[in-house]
Amino acid sequence: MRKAKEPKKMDQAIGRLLGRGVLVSGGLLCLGWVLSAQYSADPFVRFQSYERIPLRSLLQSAVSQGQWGLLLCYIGLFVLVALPSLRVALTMVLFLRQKQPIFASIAAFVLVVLIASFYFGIQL
Amino acid sequence: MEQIILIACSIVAGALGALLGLGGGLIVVPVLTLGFNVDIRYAITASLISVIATSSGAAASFLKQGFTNLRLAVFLESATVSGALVGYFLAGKVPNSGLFILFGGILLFSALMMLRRRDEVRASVDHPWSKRLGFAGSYPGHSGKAISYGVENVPMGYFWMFFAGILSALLGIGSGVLKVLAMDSAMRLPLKVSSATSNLMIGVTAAGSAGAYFLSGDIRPEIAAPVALGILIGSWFGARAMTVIPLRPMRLLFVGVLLVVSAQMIYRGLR
Repeated sequence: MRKAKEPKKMDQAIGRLLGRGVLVSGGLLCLGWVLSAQYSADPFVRFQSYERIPLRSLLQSAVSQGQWGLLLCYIGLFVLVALPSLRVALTMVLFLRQKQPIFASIAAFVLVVLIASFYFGIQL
Repeated sequence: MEQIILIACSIVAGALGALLGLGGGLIVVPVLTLGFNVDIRYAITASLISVIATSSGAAASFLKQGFTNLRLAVFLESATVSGALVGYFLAGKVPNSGLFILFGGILLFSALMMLRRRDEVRASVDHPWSKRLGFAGSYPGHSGKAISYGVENVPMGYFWMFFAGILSALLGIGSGVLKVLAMDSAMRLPLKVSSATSNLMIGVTAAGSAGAYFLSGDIRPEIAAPVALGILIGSWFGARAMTVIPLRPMRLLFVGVLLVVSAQMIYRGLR
């Protein structure tokens, strides 16, 4: 009986993490978007052709111009992008607790690939 | 004003994405490129954010309801994230026109796939991998009684997921259509289980390339923030409306929209 309840608990723990992560990132994006809306009257004109600008330059420019709303949006986006990785990390820990080493290893592999993708983003 | 329209479109995309088991990307990319004339590369990266938002918003609810097969999802995610990383490296080598044509083709394929009848064909045998890894599970039926199911043809499903991961990174979509197709047709999972499991997986698939795009500065909050906000609101409503809204007429309407947008995207690519 106890064994059958374990996966349910796991699903609920992961569901809670996703739900709370979405609330945090949604809150940050909402606040950031409201604050940054004032200095982008027609926000899409600049994006009609692609230009590669490193994240560091974008962040430095936002800080120097005091665009705190934009920075909040970046934090909100980071939380959202990181959320699936956090979910996989939590899954791995929960599988380990349930003594399911095969699934914990698969989750670890997924996590490594996700972290590698962040790494390649820094490199490029 | 443009941002308000974009949020409204994203709310619709999020609700449809959650209801039909797809990422919102199929709607977000055409809206941004055809509606707002945004470069397709910015549209793709904003769309990846929308896919993560759709997945996370709806998956929380599906997990609580007990439809998601977490063990199978984690196993198949090892294929999708690997594919996503491959797709990320391929993305820089494909010209914009190629991306438009490929996206149009995927829209057409998605429309055709949505027209097919998703008959509930249960797995008659549990694949040896499924037996070994314990993928068989159960989900709550209408009466609240648990309905058990097995999983067929796991290797085929795994291969499809790798391919879905490549497309996700290339086109900024969750590739939910491919995932649901693989789980329905090859692995013979119950419909609600494949929709919910696909929904959970598309977030990780998108994160496989979104992390790289984010840190290389290609995800711009001016576009991605209103898209993500709209999608979060839409998917929240969509997941809760799943048991109330009749899916058949909405699916048909969506197919019509997909066909029109598909033609427009292919035309833009060929122009």
